[in-house]
Amino acid sequence: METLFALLIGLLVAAGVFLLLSRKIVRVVLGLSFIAYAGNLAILTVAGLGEKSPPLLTLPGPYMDPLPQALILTAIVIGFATTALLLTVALRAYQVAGHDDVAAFGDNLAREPQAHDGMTADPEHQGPDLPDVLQADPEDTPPGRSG
Amino acid sequence: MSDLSWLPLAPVLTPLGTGLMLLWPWARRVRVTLSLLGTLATLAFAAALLLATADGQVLVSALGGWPAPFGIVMTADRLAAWMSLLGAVTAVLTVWQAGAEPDPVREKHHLFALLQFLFAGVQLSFLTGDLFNLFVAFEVMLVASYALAVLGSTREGLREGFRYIVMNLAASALLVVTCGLAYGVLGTLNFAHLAQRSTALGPNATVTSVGVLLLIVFAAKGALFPLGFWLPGTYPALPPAVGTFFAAVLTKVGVYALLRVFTTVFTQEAGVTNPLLLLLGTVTMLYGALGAASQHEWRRVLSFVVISSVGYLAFGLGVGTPESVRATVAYLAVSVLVTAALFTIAAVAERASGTRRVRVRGMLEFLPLLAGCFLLCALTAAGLPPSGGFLAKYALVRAALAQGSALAVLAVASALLSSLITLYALLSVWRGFFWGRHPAALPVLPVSPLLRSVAYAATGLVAGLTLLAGPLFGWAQATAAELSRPEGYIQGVLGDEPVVIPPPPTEQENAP
Repeated sequence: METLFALLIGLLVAAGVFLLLSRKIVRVVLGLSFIAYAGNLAILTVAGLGEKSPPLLTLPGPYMDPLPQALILTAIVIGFATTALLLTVALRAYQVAGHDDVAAFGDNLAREPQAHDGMTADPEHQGPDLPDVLQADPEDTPPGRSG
Repeated sequence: MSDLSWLPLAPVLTPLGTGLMLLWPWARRVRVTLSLLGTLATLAFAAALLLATADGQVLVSALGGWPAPFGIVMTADRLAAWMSLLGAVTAVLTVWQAGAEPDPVREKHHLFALLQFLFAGVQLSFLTGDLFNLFVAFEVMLVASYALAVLGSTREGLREGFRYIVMNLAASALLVVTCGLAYGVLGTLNFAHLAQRSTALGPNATVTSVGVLLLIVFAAKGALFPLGFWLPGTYPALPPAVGTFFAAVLTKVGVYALLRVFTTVFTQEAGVTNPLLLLLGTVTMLYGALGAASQHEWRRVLSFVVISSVGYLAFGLGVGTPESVRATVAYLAVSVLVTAALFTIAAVAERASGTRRVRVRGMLEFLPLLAGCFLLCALTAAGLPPSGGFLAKYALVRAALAQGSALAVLAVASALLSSLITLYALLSVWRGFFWGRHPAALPVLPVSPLLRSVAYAATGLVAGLTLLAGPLFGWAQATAAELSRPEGYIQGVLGDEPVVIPPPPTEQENAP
């Protein structure tokens, strides 16, 4: 049973990390949720998987330890709130940019969909032979990038 | 003992209550006054905590009346009270600065209430006596900070906020798993009980790996080298007042957690975690200093200075002798106050020149007093005499040389080099912003005296550190002595009796 759970946790974390490295914002959010679920399962496994009764005093004992379940409940509630917040940020980025890619954040290190050649990775330093000038962030790219 | 048991709860509940009151749409003047009163009350409670723990007693308040290992307790020893006071002082400065700079859009969306929730989360992380509750405190603090980071929805804020949120959520997931592992190995989550049981268990590979996992989590929260990549981008994107509090206190929460866990809780195999901390600190100091020398914007330079100071704290903690812990506790105060002062100065400078960039030249004739303040803070941050920063760094280096391992000597070399580079970086800021002739084409905008007064007050606190170095180091000495003897903390929380876990109820007792 522990082996099965360990494999399952490993699979969830692997999937979560894979999604976390994606360029799609929603996939990043999903990846974080997967990692959180893996954490919850890990707490359950570490506390011991057994065939005991649920911790209700009306049932005959011996009982499972209720504390890990309380920890997981707390973690689920907090995870719910943070996921909601992260989705709000993602939605706002989508409204600002019109597409669901990390390029929506206007990060020059990301491959801008409509980048013209000569886009510098660091807007502060134009290059060795150009003077440093103050340059605003490149403004919103026109919507139109799909997929 | 019992008459003061409510006190550790007070600094947490005050900002929480203030924050709830601020959700009502009052007029701006009422909001600012309420915020300021709330933070001043928190400061008073934190000072009371400091006085109550000054004789070495550990204050414990059991939530819901459940005794220590079974329920969640709030504990305050010297270290917790010290951190709580530093957090409260910075909170007053932050609210003062936020009040001095009207920001209608963000204030409409509850900037002041979110700030109070942030303060509550920070105070809770300092005063909690339970590992899982520390995770909850981190989340309270972080959710407020996420909201503050993306408030206003500028593109830069969204980008940096998103990076900050994803990074911290990944670290929090690891913290939850580590709590589960700690419970699985030691069967408890209370700090004192964990310490007692891990001592009884002796050196144990599983417990040490839990300790290393905690080190990774807190290194991510405290922005130590490989995990601090998000910080220099995130802090400049914040609104000025919020940035002040983030920079001064939020990274120090990670450092406090490291201090608490490796001096009180997991003391059995210090030979594994201390060199790791020392190594991370060595690299972080240098990385922060070099980063600061490479930047040309006010708050980007200062963000790297923050990273460098976290490196010094990790270095002091990693040396692992009582002397180095004493120097670390003293340097914590220096670091918090000087960071707050530098960020308030940066806010005035950015407002006066109308740009984030440093190379404006010749502002000395318009802001002479601010230039003096900046010079004092730069000397403190770089650790030159006659500043409190010099005394703390000198104590750190001396403690490391007294310990004398090869890694410690390497760290000392890195510390001295980083101090020099930090000095160069901050003097470049001085030369670029204050020195020279001001170009007539560039405007000089008026800055409200209220905003300037925050910078002066913060610098006054930094100067006060130098003048009160004796009592400061006396307090740090007492704190380090207390931390080197976890027995006192354990006894203060769990009492003199051994903890008895009651047997599970039998069939007869359950019969309805």
